Amino acid sequence: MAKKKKGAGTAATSATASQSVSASADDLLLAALARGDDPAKTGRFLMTFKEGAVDAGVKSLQKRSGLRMASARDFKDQAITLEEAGDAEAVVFPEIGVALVSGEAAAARSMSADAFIEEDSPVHSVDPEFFMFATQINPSDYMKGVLRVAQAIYEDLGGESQVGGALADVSPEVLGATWGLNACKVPPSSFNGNGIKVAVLDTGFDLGHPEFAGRSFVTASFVGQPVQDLHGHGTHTAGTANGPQAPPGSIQRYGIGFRTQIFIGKVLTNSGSGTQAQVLAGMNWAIANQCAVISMSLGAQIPVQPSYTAAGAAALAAGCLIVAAAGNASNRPTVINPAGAPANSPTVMSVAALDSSLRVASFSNGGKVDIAGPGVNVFSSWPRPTLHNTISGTSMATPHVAGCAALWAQSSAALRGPALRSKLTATAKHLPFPASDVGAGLVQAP
Amino acid sequence: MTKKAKPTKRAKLAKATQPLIVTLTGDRPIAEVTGDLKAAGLTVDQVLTSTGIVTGSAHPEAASRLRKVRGVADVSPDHPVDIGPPGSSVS
Repeated sequence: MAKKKKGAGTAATSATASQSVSASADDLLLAALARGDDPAKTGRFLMTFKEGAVDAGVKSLQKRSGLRMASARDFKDQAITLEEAGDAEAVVFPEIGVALVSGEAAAARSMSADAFIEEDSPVHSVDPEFFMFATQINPSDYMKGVLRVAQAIYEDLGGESQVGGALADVSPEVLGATWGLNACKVPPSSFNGNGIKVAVLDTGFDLGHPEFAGRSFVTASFVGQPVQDLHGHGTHTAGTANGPQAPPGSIQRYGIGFRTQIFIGKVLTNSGSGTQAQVLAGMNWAIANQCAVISMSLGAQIPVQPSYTAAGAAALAAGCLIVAAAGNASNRPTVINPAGAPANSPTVMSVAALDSSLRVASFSNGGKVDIAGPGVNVFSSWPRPTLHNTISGTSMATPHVAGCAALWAQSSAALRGPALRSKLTATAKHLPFPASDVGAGLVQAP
Repeated sequence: MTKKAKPTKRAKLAKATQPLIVTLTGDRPIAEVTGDLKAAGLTVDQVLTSTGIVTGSAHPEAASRLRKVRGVADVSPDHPVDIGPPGSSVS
């Protein structure tokens, strides 16, 4: 939660001071404007504890991070008003298992909504606190109205105009999502992949991509080159599976699991090629790291490989699900080539590609296909300075399945390995095509 | 081409090691199998314990010996892997 540099000086000072737990809504709204980032957020954080873990969570927070905490239990009938919280840095609401943490306290302890939460933590999630308004009818218009008023007041007080940037961030839903995310019913899903490790084995990733700042990455290279992606393919596929909920400006949402922990295994060089041994090394690494989902947008037009089948079986036994691209060797309707390896292994989920009319992509391989995903004209992240690119392939369909798998895995700890695979196929949207072309159908988010 | 002498049998052998992927059955400790694979002529590159796979290289005629090692399910040549031609719109 580093403060924006442009909000330097007195405005920044007052912004910092007014993100305390006892600040009024008016203070918070002005502070949000002074901060110059997302004005729909108060700058404070809501920490949700796991069921039954509130007391343990409070103790561990006090002990490990020295937070000064007030509890609603200390007030008569638990009727705490935030103005009464005084110099506490956090207020705990034990009955609902939530704590409100001040912006300063969060910043001092590097707490942020994007930080990855370990599985054994008593904390379920950390979310930005949003302003609430009394109407749900077109809230974004209402929000804009409120902001215009607040902005006018702020400018009267001598602040710089920043309404353009502010308004652009108000409501990501208005700006929409890619056709692929909409087809997979991702935007309405209440899941974000928090707590789920997703491995993408590809050409690496642009680790300095601004839309992934603050995300948790674990990386490894198996090809003797730095993980940094100089090809683009890996940045694109990992972006679809793990990209942000609300990219800045007018960029549509393209990423599914926006709170996953991202494992980048570079198994293909910057020219987009590798060997089976390098790919197997990446799979082994992802399984050893207990990634619930392993996305592999790669392959070769070769028969079933016993090594991939064994690796897929080891993955399933360890609670990991491997999804792989069926391959692009076809030229429909005349030529339909069989799925390549590793997708053709029975222990690996094979993904076909669909276009935006939900027809099978001309290049999409057939035969051993388990499920289908959006794979034509897919918009996602790309290495700097381009930042985004629109490309096609079963490579693009695969991370749609991986991302949705991460959301399902978050929805229940029981959905791992074979159970996760069954859930994905059981909930897929049925399509009027043979299973050898689309498997169970189009993948759907929970 | 025409000037090039036919390589001797020995030179051919020295040249001809090929990268291999060895998949194990999992019913023997991986370290033991790896030791036997080395003895049977495999130059071990990686031992992938989470997946039960050993990669390395050997002369082609060693492959049949490697297949006979107890705990080995399969010995296959390594393959190139890719994502479609670089710069292609389909990948």
